[in-house]
Amino acid sequence: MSPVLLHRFLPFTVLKNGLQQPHALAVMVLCAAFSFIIYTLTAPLMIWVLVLSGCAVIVRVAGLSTLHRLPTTRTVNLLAVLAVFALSWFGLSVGLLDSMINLLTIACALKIMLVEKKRDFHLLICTCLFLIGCGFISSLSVFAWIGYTGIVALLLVATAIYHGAGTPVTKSVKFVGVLIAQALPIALLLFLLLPQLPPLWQMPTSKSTETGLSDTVTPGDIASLASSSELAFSATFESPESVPDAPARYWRAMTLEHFDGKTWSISDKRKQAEQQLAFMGRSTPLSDLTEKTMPQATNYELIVEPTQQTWLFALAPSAPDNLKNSISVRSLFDFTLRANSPISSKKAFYFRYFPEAPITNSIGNFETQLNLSVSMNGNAEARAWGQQLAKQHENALDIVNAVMTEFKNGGFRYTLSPSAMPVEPIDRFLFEERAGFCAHYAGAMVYVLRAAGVPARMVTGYQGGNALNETVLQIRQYDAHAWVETLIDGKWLRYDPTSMAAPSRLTFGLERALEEFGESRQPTILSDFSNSAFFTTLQGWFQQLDYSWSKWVLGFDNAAQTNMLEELLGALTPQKMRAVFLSAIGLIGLILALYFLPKRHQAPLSPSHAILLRALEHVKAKTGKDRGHKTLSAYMAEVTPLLNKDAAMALKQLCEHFEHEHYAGKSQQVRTYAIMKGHLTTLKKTLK
Amino acid sequence: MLVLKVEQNHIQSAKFKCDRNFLNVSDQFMHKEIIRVQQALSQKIIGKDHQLKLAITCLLANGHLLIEDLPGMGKTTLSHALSQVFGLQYARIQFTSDLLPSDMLGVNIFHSHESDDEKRFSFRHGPIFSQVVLADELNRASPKTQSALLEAMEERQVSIDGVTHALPSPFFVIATQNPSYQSGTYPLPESQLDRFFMRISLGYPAWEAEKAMLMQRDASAPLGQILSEANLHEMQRRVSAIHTSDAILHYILRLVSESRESHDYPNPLSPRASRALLQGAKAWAFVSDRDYVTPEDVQAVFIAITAHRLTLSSHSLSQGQQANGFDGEKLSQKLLDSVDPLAA
Repeated sequence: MSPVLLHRFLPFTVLKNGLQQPHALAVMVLCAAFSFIIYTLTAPLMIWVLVLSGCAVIVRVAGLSTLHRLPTTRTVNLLAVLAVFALSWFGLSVGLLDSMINLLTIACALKIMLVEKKRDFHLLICTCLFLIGCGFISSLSVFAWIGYTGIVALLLVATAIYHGAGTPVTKSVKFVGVLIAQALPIALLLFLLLPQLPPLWQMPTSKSTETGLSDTVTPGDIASLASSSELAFSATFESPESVPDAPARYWRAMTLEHFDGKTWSISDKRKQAEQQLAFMGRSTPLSDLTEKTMPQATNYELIVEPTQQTWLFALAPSAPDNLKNSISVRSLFDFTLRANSPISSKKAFYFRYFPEAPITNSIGNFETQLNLSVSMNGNAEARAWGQQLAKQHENALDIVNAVMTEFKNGGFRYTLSPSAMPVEPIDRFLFEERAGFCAHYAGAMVYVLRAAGVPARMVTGYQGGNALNETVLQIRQYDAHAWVETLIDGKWLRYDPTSMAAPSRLTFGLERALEEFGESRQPTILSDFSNSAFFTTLQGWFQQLDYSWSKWVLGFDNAAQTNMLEELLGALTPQKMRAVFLSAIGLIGLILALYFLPKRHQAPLSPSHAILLRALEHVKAKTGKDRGHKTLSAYMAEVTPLLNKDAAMALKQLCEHFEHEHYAGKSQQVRTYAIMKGHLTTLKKTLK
Repeated sequence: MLVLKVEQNHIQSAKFKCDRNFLNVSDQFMHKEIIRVQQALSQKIIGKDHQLKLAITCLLANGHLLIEDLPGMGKTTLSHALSQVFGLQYARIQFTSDLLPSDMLGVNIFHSHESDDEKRFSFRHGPIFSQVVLADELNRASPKTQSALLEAMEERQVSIDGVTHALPSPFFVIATQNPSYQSGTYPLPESQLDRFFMRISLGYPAWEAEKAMLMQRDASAPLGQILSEANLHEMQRRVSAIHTSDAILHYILRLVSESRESHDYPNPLSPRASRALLQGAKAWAFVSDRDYVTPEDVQAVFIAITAHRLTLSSHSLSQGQQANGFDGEKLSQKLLDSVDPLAA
């Protein structure tokens, strides 16, 4: 409801609780803003806090009419005590950050019922602004930004109504609009030119996070992920030609080399080895890759949604471009990548991809042994098959091909809802169910290959990605995937057993693969609607908008800023940086001066006017009386007794001539100017 | 009971014949006449020279005057004296809550006793068809009657049963108003207050002035006519011809735009107000015997012209706001103080 409408609905009289009508309206607008904030914060807030806030708003709005009584301070205090107890009880389970947001919201909700003085109102406005800041912790998308900008504007309107008692609402809205428009160029300058300082304090990482992948895979995990269409990351390439073809889009995240019969995980031995090698100072194979040795290298940029984890996904093999990365990325000996700190907000990472470089066995025999170990816990049938394959074929490649052929011709089916296989999962999958998803296929294949004496490991990550435009790929959570790498002749080769059972998974993505097997990813009534061309176009626009926002606004960090300045100014020297910094501040000062210095409605002063003002300056210096906004004759009457006779005479003459020219329009400017100049000289002399 | 008291001040044969010579008389002569008028009025209203000068200014600027005061302060006396010295026809309408618009404007009457040929309606003019109309206690009348008067003031004509009757010229309404906190009043809304050119308030006389008033022997003696209607027209013509420099126009514009830009004024000044300011300043300059306007002229009439326009009407004001400087005079003074008359 627009503020203008509210204005009409409200009673015109002074309201019972001492709030006058414009104040009631301001409180009403504030309540609306608060409700919007609560709506955006539904995720971190506990249900009882939501209910409390809703009730507080209703009580407040009802209290504006004369019929209802607002709760007394005592009641509210009691509520506050109860809420604090409840929060300390429930707060343990939601973590520090969320309980703090809950606390702030409770404080706001209780205060909203008590707004009486100006101080209360300001306090509420400030707390609401803080809550908006909290809202940005969880979402940085362009839509969150638009929504919160609207709410901030609403808060400003409430303040304007509160202070401009009696001024029409439309005027207040206009006033706020002008203020925001004035603030925009300054914000833009600050954003673009001033160095970005690191945050003063660290936010505790949120507990309720949804990770794209996990470092252990028990078949079943990835099926639940597949239903989420949230964005995982987007990749931007330099040119349309350098975007890899659909079957080559394997975004490698981690290698799972340990299997206990049920669950695949990162091997502890590998972790230890990594630590020892790092301690010994051995450089990882990735750091040896340079553009000189590999001319086919292409650069690309990933914008990664927050995962709260350190692992990264990249086309293998890719080397991090740490000069540009705001969080430094290190490469490991299995060619995977780790950020040095958890990715807690949307971040950009830069990589260089070497399509021709092989993934080598970088630690030698250790890696081979690690990937030959077979868990003797169950799955005897699969092991037997592996041993039989080893006898049948001499060559490791032949063994791998035999397994792949089996997946292709053995009647395997791709599904996201396989039956549970708690006991001897690999045997059951291979010989009974013959239906599963990527983790089943990859797990079974690695197990069989190891049993046949071929070193193999499971690799997880993402596969695929939709093209947002020619150079940008978007990878969503349902693109999560698992595949197999086998060590043949010292090189790790990639095999994807899932593609044998469901070839379209690779080329057309998950949805097509599921369709072929008669399944749908999102069986909702909306699916018809979401298939319509209009909806798809709209969705495309929104994705494009959000992508551009992430890339250009959120991605504008110190590095991007330096790049921009370098493009504009050439190489950056400290002197240049200082000049940019100072000129930015100067420019902001200039803009502020434009807004706040008194406006001159007129062209420059006429000559006689200038002389008069100079004369008045002299008189002021002598008598110490400021003219202020008095008229000429009033000021003359005030200062004449303080001046000597000659000076008073000269001043009088000056004023008369000025009046004659300026107001009566009778004498010629040039002549009056000459005469007045003469009088000014006299005045100066006599004043000494 | 409706009290209608109509006094007719028949225009005596003018002392000054309206002829060519007279129209060409010098400004000096005009100013002498104005001084005589002021002196004559100050015999009736003692010690209120500034208010008298404002009232004359208002008349010369062809505007209507609102006097807001407590009963017994000389509102009626002032209006009566004004009409006497300017030689104008005078009518007084006492406003009460049951006064109807037709009581004031006049009615069509059917003449039944005449012969058949002459049986017809004729319009009987109401008291408003006078050159000076004293609308006494305007805020006691119902809004309907108030707006009938205010319409007539603006249009300077009255339409009854589809026939338009022009009001006499000059047409000058002096309305008096009791302070609105007194009981039984219908406060004038902002839109109607704007129609009044000036609002003045006489206030209690000073000690010496009241003593002089008490010592007066013949307080009720009528004043003689000093000016003729033609004189008044000529003066009004000369007022419009007063020179106004750009500097003055800009000063008025600065005042007006300050009231619109600043948030301190709930009711900013209208273009009608800025026009009134210019006209009032010109008339004041004329009364002060000058043929051009200075910022002092603007300042002299500023409060009288703007105070009632800047204030919120009393019913949308709480007591607290009234105390907090929503009072028109204070707002007006504040506005005047915040603009520099000498700025470029």
